[in-house]
Amino acid sequence: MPGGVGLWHRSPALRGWALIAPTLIILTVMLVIPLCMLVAQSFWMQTGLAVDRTPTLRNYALLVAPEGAIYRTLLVKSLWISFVSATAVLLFAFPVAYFIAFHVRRSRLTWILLVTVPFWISYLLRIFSWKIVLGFGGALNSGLISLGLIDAPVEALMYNQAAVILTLAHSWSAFAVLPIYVSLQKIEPQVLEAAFDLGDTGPQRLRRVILPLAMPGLLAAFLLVFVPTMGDYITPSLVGGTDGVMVGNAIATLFGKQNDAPLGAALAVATMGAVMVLVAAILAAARLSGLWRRRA
Amino acid sequence: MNIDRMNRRQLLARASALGLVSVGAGGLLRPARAEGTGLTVMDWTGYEVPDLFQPYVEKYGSAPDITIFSDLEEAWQKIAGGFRPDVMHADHWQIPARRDAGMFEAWDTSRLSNFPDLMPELVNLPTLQHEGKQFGVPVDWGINSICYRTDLITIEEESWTSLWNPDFSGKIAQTGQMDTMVGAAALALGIENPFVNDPEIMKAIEAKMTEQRALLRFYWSDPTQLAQAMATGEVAIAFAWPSVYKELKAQGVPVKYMRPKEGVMGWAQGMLLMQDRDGDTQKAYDFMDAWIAASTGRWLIENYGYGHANVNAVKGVAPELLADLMLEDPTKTLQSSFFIRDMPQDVQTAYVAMVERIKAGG
Repeated sequence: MPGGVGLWHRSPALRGWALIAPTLIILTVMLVIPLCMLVAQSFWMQTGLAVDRTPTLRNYALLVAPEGAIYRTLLVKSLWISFVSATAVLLFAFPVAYFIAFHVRRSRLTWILLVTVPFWISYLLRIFSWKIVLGFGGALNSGLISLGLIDAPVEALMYNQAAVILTLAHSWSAFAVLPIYVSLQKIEPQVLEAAFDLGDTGPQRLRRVILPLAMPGLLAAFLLVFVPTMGDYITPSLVGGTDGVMVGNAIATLFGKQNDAPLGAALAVATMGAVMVLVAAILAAARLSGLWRRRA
Repeated sequence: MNIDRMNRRQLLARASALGLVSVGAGGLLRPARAEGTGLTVMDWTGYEVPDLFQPYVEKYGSAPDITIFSDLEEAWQKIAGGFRPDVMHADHWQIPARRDAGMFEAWDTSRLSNFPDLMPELVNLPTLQHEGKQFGVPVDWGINSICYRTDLITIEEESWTSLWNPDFSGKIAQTGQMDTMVGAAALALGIENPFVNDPEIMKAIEAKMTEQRALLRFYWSDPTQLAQAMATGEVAIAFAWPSVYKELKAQGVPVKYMRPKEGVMGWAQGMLLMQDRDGDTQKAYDFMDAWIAASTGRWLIENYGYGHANVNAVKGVAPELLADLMLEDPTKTLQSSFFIRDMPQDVQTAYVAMVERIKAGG
């Protein structure tokens, strides 16, 4: 068909669509459609072992009602845990990325590869290894006892929010190092030299030159950790005890044990909404403060 | 492979080749798995050991495919999600609602050579036998109680209220299973049957479970987690299955299995033949028959400390062991213990929601 071929050559839009078609199809089938199903499900109602498919807002009403207080508490607590984890990750990841970007001259690839080493073992095993480190009879406690620093094992290491935050921060650290590294690497060495020549001290240069220029990477790193950890339920169920339960655990038990998938769907949609609002707020704040600008 | 020397086209070609190979490999592997052993069993964690169905292994040369669970609610959800076992194991009181929904097929007991040796009081449980048909074959039964470290804490009077003793705060563990959590609260409160639609009772149970949450180290989700915590002394007192007590004792940990003044908890399970199944029916019957063999029963008692439905299972078992595990007189034990006879579906749903809410911190 010469006409078709001609159109193909003439229309960049068509070629563009054709190019992204595979991705678009996969995203539609694997993400958009399931997401629509989840939203649809959140308007149904569980009645005993059966599901009533008449659209209703009762699940959402429950989430804002006094009986739904537990879900709101869990949501706020999860936002907090993820926020602290993501912040901790930034604090740990920035020096690493800084070192690789400015102090490693050769074999940078090796260093980046080293950062990803924790990802070579399964997520579950990483969490279990934290159990071994932090546990009652674990490495840290027996180490401290043998050094004579403590007499009895410290119980506060495990089964609480701090353990969840530590495990999450470790599990997601590599996700933060890479975007920060990329944004630091783009900084021209001349800019740094200019800062020194104009009289900036090291800390001043960090604050006034490097951090603003690295802000897109820092923001990306923060969101890359913050968003996925919000939905985690494996980490809290293994190291969280009674104190470290997150909203993901509640969603999982609603779909599982509690056999109330519609309420679980509503809680999942609400969680997604909360994350979206918070992310939008963070981006807006960053833009207003001038820390992050859209490139022209 | 040197990435620098490879242009983009080559890289893409190799990447797509790799992608195709992995997709292809997936396709090749799948049918091999689906063939399986011709029988798929869904069973409690710990019940996957071949000693529990040795005659089956002898006949067919290998164990069936066994999927394990540590929480029955999760198992039901897995089936609702499309998993199709041929045979499964369940608490007897969980059976009627799903039996009425047509989930199980009645066993033809004449095909089970060991069936006549089973204890009548278990065989005749209305949850297992319905309108003359045997939907659940009784297999294992037993008691559950509190296990505690005699070197770490002192118990004045053995009672379920020990799990609420503020002196042990942070050293207590409770199971995360609804029936047991509610049962323990009921025993501590002196409520005979909490599984009725009575708002007063439910409110009292809820308050009691909430009170306990603040004292707990954790809700255990698998017996290994509990056994390890009790062995190190992280947990000093806990609701525990007899298998945990037996394991700790075998390790030389100073533990005692409590005989609370309110009585222990009794339980019984049935093995079910699923209505929708893909496996070999004869294999399902052979598996069932192997489970109720007296030899299996003896192994179960001696190694896990559970009771077995076959009356001949206790033959050869040391009487001291039976006494220690409170298994000497099945009839008496079951009659004197807290035993769930049935549970209306709405009561179950309400309690599951309540328990999950409390565990999450509400």
